[in-house]
Amino acid sequence: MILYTYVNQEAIFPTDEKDFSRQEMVDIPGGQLLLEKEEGEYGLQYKIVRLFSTDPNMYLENKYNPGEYFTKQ
Amino acid sequence: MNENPQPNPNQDQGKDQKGSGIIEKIQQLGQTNVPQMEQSNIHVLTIIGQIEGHMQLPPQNKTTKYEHIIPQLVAAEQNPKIEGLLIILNTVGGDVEAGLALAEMISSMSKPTVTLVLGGGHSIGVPIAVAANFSYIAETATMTIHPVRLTGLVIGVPQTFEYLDKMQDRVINFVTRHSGISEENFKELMLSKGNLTRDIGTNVIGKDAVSYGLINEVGGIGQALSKLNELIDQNKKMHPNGDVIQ
Repeated sequence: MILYTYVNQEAIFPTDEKDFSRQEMVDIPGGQLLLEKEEGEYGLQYKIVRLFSTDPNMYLENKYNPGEYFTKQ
Repeated sequence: MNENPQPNPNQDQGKDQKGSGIIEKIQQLGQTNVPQMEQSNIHVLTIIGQIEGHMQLPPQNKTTKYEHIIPQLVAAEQNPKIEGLLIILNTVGGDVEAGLALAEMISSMSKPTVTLVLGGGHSIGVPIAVAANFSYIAETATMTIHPVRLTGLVIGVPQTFEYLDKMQDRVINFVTRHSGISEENFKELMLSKGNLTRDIGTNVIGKDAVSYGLINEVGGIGQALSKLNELIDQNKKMHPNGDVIQ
């Protein structure tokens, strides 16, 4: 389906509110993490989507790799 | 004055975090002091995806939010251990106001900055790319220069056009002030026909961006980092005491 319109996509296909609440930001020493809630067999877990930091060394730390699970304090 | 019966929840949380962190370290590694990697004197800022301004985009979009970048820039400026900042761009553009805000922040930093355009630095990515002390573009990277526009419904009055025109002037002024391109040339690239499909503007690739004076040099991460180190050394010579005015 091709829609020829000047209206932006979000106005035609509004995003589900749930999509926004699934992701959240947490502060960590030296930066922030974008986490995604995941309801799995181990209960509620938080998966790392993205690390926000300007420190290049933090990107080498395995615990902040995208896809790792993060335990919220 | 201190009659607040409830302690600050944030403070309490911080204490807990610290305590459990130490316990965790002892449990996992048998010691409290874990050797730390040497701190880097260069920090890296990545500006990727869409530049998000006042409107929040759906989570499936890759975005750079200015509320994330601005505190990082402030931290980099303020932290005396950080001596230089490398900005890596691969952006399609986005919110003009947010993009210009980031460009202004980067250009007003007192520490040496180098930008590297990888892949693309389109639209409002152009002012960000030229904001640093020195800019690089990868040979295959592109930059689309086009007029400012809006999406969605617009009130069709002359004032709307004037507002857009003024916004465009701000972009043009910033780019011409921070790069070697003349206003005339930049406007010509911005408004030229026949380069983009059914649109006005120009797509400049690697070397072309350098020949127009928009970007300083064609290069990659190696050149960008050695340039940044060179600028840091120069900066140190100019301020030999390493004094940071606090």
